[in-house]
Amino acid sequence: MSFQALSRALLVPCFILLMTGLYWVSIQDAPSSAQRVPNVVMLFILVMATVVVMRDVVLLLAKRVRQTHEPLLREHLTSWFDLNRQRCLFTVIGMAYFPAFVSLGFNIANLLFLCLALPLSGLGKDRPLVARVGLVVGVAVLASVIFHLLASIMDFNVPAPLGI
Amino acid sequence: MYDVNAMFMGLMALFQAHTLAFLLVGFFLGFFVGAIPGFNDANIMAILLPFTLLMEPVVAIVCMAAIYAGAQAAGSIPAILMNIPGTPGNAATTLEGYPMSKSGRSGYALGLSLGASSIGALLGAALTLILAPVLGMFALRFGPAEMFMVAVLGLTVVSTLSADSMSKGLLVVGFGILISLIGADSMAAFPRGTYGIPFLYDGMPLIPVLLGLFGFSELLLLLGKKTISSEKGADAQGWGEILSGFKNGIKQKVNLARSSILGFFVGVIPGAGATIGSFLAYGQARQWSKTPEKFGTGHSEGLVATDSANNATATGAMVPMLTLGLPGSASTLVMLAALVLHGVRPGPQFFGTFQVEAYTILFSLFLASLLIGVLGVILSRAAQRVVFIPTALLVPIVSVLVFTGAYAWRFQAFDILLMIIFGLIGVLLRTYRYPVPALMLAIILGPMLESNYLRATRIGGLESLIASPISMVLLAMIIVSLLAPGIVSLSRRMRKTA
Repeated sequence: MSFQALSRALLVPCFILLMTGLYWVSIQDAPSSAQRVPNVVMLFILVMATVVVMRDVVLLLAKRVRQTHEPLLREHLTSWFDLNRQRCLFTVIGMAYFPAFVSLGFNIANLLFLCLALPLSGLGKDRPLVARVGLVVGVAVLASVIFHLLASIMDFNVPAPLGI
Repeated sequence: MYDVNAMFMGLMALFQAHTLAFLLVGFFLGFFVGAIPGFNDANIMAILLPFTLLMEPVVAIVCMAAIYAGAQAAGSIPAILMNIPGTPGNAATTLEGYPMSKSGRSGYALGLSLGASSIGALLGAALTLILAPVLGMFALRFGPAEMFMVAVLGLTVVSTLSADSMSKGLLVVGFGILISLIGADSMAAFPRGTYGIPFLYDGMPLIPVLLGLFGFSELLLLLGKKTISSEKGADAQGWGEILSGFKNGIKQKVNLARSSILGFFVGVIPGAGATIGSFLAYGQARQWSKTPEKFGTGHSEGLVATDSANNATATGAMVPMLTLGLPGSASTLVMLAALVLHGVRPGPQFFGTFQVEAYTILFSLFLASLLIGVLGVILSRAAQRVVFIPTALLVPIVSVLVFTGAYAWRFQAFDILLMIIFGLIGVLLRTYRYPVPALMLAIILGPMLESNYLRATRIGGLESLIASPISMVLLAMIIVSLLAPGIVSLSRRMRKTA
């Protein structure tokens, strides 16, 4: 059984157990009434995680997954990043939206996000650079205006540009 | 109990030009808002509430009810086209609707959904009209123990819908319940799992979590694809396919009736919500289906079940709101506020004291169900073109929509970050084939599970959970839902080897 196959089987259960562990730590000082239901749920998670891992390991053994050449972890991570580069960058831009939203306001945050996200997702990739920039900025501005109008109509109380 | 004179006067009050006009306006608003992920009907109803004070009480409530009905039906559109439920009740729609869309049958799927929604709303309205005067008392028999059992039933059913294995579904359900228990607990107000973040003290906000798990995760997975529809040569389907879907939807009489009735009675239970109703109906449809192996691949029976139940639950939720004054959701809460502000007080005497108003509201639900079918079909032809918009344009624009929707729930910027985190969790779960709908339902039902468990066991101990006949019936249903998949699979294997 390859290391990667095993890690695929363990990744989600380990993540869930890690989160469960963090939750458990946070309720150590809680009164018993606040711990009653979470304790049962955490025990349930522990049991189900064990069942899932055992089931997946048994399935893997039954499949007899063997690799003659197991790529190094570094190689594996590099190829994973190459495949998911777009998603990783998009996530980073998405995370950056939050501080931009708070400090620069709704409209500017939208504009900046779209100016970065549109070319990343491939808008105008076959066009010359100037045309591509023009298309991206044009779409970003138009979309930002529409979102501004939508937020005004729906009375969303979004942060004003630069806090003004 | 049934005053024919009052019914007739209610009908006359509905068919006034200005009442019908506001019904149409309300329906359009609700439909528009429901079709945009993250924009929920409770927001628009709350915004319109002050304006409704200028209207007559009946007109105001008819408008609100139309917004409510329109949003429930339209919430299936983004669920089918983009795997992003418009309302929490449409989470189950994504199970069959989105696979249909990806295979180039978006028009057919929309037609199917709208047909089922229309009939579900119609049946729900009919049941409400007939049973509302007596059902209030039925709803009162659901105490903490029964509500706990309803929550457990919903969770066991959704975990058995997991494509890979029930154990994965149950693991995810446990995780979802734990997430839902983040925040100050109801007894001692101890902040559990918040790690000092004040925005989590009130618990997990549902809309940002929903948008993250379904919306942002889907957008991340769409990156790199040309369009949502992967079918080569596929194009937006014409009227023929949409109407064919609509006709096929309303032809599934048994499925429609079963799902709508189930959805209606779930809606009657205060606080149960459309999400439980639609998942229970989906589970039932799969169990009764002659082709259960097709569920999850874009099966019409599944889509018909979820959407008819969703809309029937929405109309059923009017029963506790009108007869007991118990709103089961943010939308019904706003409707209740509108009623009270107009001096029309819901409660056990509602059908005695405000008969004309009551029947006007109920007949307006009938009309709204017809509008779902007619207007919904007309609007869906344009709506399905979303599937063919290049993702290079669609993903960033819908992302901003999703960010805005996450913010608009509580007007907290933190919710945007939360939404993104849950988006990443959604990607992780989907990549390794863990059921995201199970997680979402567990997050929704977790608080209901805990509060009712504590209330029930505080008085009578653990035995009180199965003391009443209703609890015992629900327990039996839980056991059946846990064992049924295994028994069915075993019997199929035995038939194959025989």
